[in-house]
Amino acid sequence: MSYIDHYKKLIEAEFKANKNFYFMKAVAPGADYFIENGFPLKKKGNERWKYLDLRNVASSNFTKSIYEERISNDFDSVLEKLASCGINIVEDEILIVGDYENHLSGRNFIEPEGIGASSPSKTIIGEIADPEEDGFIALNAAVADITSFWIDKNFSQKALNIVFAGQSQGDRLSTERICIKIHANTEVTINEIHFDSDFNTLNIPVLEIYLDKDAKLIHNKVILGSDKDMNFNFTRVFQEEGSYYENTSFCSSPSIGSNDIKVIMAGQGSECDLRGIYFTNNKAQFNTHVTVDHLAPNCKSNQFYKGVLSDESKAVFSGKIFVERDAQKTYATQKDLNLLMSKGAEIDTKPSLEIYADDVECFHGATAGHVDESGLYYMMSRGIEKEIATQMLVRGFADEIIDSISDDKIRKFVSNKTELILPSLSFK
Amino acid sequence: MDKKILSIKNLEASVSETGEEILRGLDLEISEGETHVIMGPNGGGKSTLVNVIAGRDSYEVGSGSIKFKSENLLDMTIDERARKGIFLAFQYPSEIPGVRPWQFIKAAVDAKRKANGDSELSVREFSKIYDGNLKEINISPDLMKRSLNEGFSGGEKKRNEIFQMMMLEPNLALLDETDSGLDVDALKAVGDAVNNMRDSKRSFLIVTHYQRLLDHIKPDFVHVLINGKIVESGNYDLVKKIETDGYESFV
Repeated sequence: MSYIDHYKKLIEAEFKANKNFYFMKAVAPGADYFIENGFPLKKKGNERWKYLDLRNVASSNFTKSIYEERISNDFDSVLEKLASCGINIVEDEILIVGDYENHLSGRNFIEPEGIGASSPSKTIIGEIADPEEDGFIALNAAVADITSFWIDKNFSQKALNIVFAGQSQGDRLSTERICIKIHANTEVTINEIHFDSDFNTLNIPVLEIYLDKDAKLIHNKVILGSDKDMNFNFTRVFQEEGSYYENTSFCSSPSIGSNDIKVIMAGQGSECDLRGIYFTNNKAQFNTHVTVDHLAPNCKSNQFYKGVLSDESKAVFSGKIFVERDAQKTYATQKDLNLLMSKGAEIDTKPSLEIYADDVECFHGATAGHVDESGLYYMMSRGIEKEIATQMLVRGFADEIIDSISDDKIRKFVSNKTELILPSLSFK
Repeated sequence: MDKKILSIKNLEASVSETGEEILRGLDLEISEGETHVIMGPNGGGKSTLVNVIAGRDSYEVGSGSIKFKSENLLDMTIDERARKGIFLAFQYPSEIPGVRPWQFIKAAVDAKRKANGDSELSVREFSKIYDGNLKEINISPDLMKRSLNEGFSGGEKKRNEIFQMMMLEPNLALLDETDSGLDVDALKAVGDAVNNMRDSKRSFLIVTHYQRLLDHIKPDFVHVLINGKIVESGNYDLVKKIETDGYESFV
């Protein structure tokens, strides 16, 4: 049986069990698209995925774990892992998705003031993440576990930690869909955390975020992968006038995966700042795909990504800046810098600009290089051993991204993670 | 009896990448407590010499030997040499993004102390020495909150080199054109710092083009390096001869 037939059966089973109000909006179109197109395996004309080898994805036949069987021991293990991030259930607002009863009224999440479940008529599912944009998003839509909520001013200045659980129960497919509507004049932090798994998993989380006028969202994304994880992570953001969106991603690569972000700047005077660091090792393949669509005038966007690649790993950065004819006075920048730690590591970095307005300022640049020999010599000439000096240089390289994370707990957590990653990198 | 700290015999070295010969049979001996100056025209091999002593691997040593105290220096890695007490003040210090000066120098001092069997300094002890030396060489503590050498002016980088020398207290300090690009105040600060560190055990090898640094630091010996060889050695009077006659008279 082909993988499409396998997932088709899964989709049909879901439909039977659970035909709901999201169906017409995203689920049905996602199902149709996936059954027809499958995963984006084609090389030709497929700029986003053609550099990755998706054969393992295409030979997969995962099933979702049975909803009712996702039990609370998973909940406990997630809390334990969270404690290592300094996040605890007493002080912090935690939403665990993937566990049984992950919805907002469930026992795992005490609905704090300023957050509430979206009514079915007001959910934004499928409006920002187009189910027909990509085979992964389509499959997510077709069999999604949906969490849909809004955040308003009463939650301002606070952080919501969204943690993806349900990974401790064996091999599985996970298709979480989180839809978040941030109300006008609301300033919040969302920390999205994916722990690595001990089992073979295909994770396709999709976040859809709507920022109303003058809303401000700091979104910190932590993706920790193991050699068993396949993790294709999507974030789709829609910005109204005067809103601010910041995304800082820390990715320690799964065996194969992606950090795929698209921001639609629809309201004038809005701003987005997208940054990230990715570490890849062994034979990992990791794709960072960032698109900013400037549809309105006077908007500002920044893309700044860094990669540290070792062993025989491969990373792809494809960054796109699209400026619509009406989006005058756009200011957009893009930068992707890569450190290759070994001869076998490979980076494909491809900036792309598509500009239809005439009064804009856009800048882009990309580099790939080995550890700076003269810097290494300088440090060693002070008595610091080569390995330590190299680690300090890589650390310094990564810190430019890590230091900019405003959430103290997440910054410390990924900083400690980096300390653990550094000695495992091969410096050859 | 004077104790040799550095003994170079018939040293030949070339650029690894191009094979271009730079040092062609160079001899030099430095004893404990001595300050030597090397002068010479551009391209003569001055910078190559100090970098070969420090261990830079973009140079290949063809033949000859370098002994540091009684040990064969050419067998040691760059960092081993530094921990044994060799320090190079760079002509063009590297900028190291994301690495803070404090963290960098602490790592260097810790590495050296560990190699010598000394215990690690507490943060408090280290900070006291660090702050004292910063004050002495007149570097603003705010500057040292940046990444190492990033956004430093030419003069600030050179002061930072001397600051690191003060922190690491080497047995043999190599100063590669530390005076170039310095204003009069910075020149005096560098001169004072070197003079304060001169003692009966510590030696200096100073590469320079100009007499002006030597108005502050009076060397014991002066050598003229031309075309990869030392062609003349003498005392301070040699500096005056160079100033009046140029290098042509040595060729």
